[in-house]
Amino acid sequence: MTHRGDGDLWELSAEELARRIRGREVTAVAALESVLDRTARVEPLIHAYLEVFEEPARARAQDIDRRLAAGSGGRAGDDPGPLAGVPVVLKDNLSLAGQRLTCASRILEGYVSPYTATAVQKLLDAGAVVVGRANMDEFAMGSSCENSAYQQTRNPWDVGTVPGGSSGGPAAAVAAGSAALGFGSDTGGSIRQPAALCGVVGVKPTYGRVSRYGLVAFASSTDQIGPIARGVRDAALATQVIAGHDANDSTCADRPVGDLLATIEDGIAGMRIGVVQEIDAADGSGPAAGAAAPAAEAAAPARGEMAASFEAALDALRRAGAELVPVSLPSLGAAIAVYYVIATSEASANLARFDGVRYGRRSPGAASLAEVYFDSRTEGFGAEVKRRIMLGTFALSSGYYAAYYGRACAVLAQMRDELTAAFRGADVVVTPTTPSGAFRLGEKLDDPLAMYLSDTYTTPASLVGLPAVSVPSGFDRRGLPLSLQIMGRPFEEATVFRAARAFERQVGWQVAPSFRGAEAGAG
Amino acid sequence: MAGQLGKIVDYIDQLQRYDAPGGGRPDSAGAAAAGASGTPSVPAPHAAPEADDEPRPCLPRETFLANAPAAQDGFLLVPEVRPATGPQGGGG
Repeated sequence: MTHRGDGDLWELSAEELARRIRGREVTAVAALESVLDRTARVEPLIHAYLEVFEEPARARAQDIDRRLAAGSGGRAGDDPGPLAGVPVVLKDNLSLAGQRLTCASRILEGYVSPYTATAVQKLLDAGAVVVGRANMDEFAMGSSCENSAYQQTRNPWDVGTVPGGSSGGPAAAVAAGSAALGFGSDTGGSIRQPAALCGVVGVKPTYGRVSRYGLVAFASSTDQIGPIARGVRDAALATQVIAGHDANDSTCADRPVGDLLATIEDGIAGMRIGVVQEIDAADGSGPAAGAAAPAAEAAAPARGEMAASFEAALDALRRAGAELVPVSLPSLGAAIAVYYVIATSEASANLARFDGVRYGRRSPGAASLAEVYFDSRTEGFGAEVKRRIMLGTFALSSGYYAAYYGRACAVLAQMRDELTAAFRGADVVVTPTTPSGAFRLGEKLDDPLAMYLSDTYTTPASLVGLPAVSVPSGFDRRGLPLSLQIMGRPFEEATVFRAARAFERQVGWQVAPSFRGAEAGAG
Repeated sequence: MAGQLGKIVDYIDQLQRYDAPGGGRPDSAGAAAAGASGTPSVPAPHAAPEADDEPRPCLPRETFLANAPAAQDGFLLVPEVRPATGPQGGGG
């Protein structure tokens, strides 16, 4: 199987598919049917979708084709936009009016979005066709999709391994060809980490670049919506479409987006690329690792592979003409501790709205208001969500506030200063995206801390609000994808995409998952 | 779960060993400015411009109540707040 060539429409990039549909070489309906056929073949293997919006998607594709047809015969064209007819999949925490949304949680069983998220509306305004909603870790809390209350999504490269998380559903769907683009949310790495494990491109835009109106909140100081794509150009195009100011999100920046594709092919000759020096010490094995040491030892061989892959990625950047400069991020080893204090603190406040009163599931046996609250949450939330709510309330409690939340904010301030200094001498900064490739299903399920550490390299950009892109860089010994993370200065997505595209060209990556471990091959 | 939480808190305790000048600065949490020195800063949540305090149209009440587990006459419906026995209640 390959995703290249002139084969089926599901294999095409979003950019090429939209070009053909706008040029009326193919119809939006044909493109959708190709993706639906593909989805029917691969879903039994990977379980990426929680729901396929088959009939609404067909009606939408027909409407796109009608609008294009209305512009034929010399009449003024009604161009549906840069994503005309492109099939996209949404993570199940992005609102689309009239469709169900669960955040992969029992507590939102039966919930129907009363309005559409701004980012999703921008997709619709650009002509995209929403194929369905995809699986995730419950309330975006997790790095493997194993925390979904509904199903276990599997990695298309090896169905015995996890797709990553929390946006594992969209990442697996895009990698497998059952959507041209995916859209998720990234709070500490939830787009970049699953994109890396599934061998596709994932983008966390600058904090404030994309409106979060209509995204179910997890940790409001770092949540961002971003795309997952099979190539860097598609990722830039998708970011372009969803970015921009929105009065409905007061944290959304009123700054011009610019043309993210204008300079994307300009290469990186002379670009200064900062290489973080603390990589080896950062994933739990560093001097401040404490209780993480056993997990880090277990991960040592994978780390060695990642180090070799990272060195090869640096060579590729050098070959493309970049100047590599060392940058120092001493607080990298504390990133997970800082993140899990701040994110869980915010989550404990954000998730208080799920009370069995206003929406979602109410415990059927509750006889008093107190029981409504208590029983609905007890029955509706999964273990990881409960764990994080408890951690957050602990970190914010009066006796511990200064020692945990206050301390985390102080280390975060230090991290911000370090990154600011790094970007004085570098145009972008690179790390591996993850400490290892995809892990086996169940491997880290009973060790939440080991699971958390898979976000070691992605949390700094989240905490400081920087744009970051994950680009496939090669394979580990098992033949599973590894990726490079490229971070940029705030609102300098164009520079990050230019570097990512140059790197992609050097690597010559093909999204060609083999569905290893599946009894019947899909491709 | 208690054991797992203990392990996580032990790990997070490493924050105490970091030499972070400035101490606890709660107002610096989250996606605050990326810094000075010419680097464009990120708007922090607390730095968002104040919105005009004017009512704007919102979705109809019925639209939201359609998601409520129970509703009556345009209001959310819940079981009795106070337990049936006891002079002061205290159940809520």
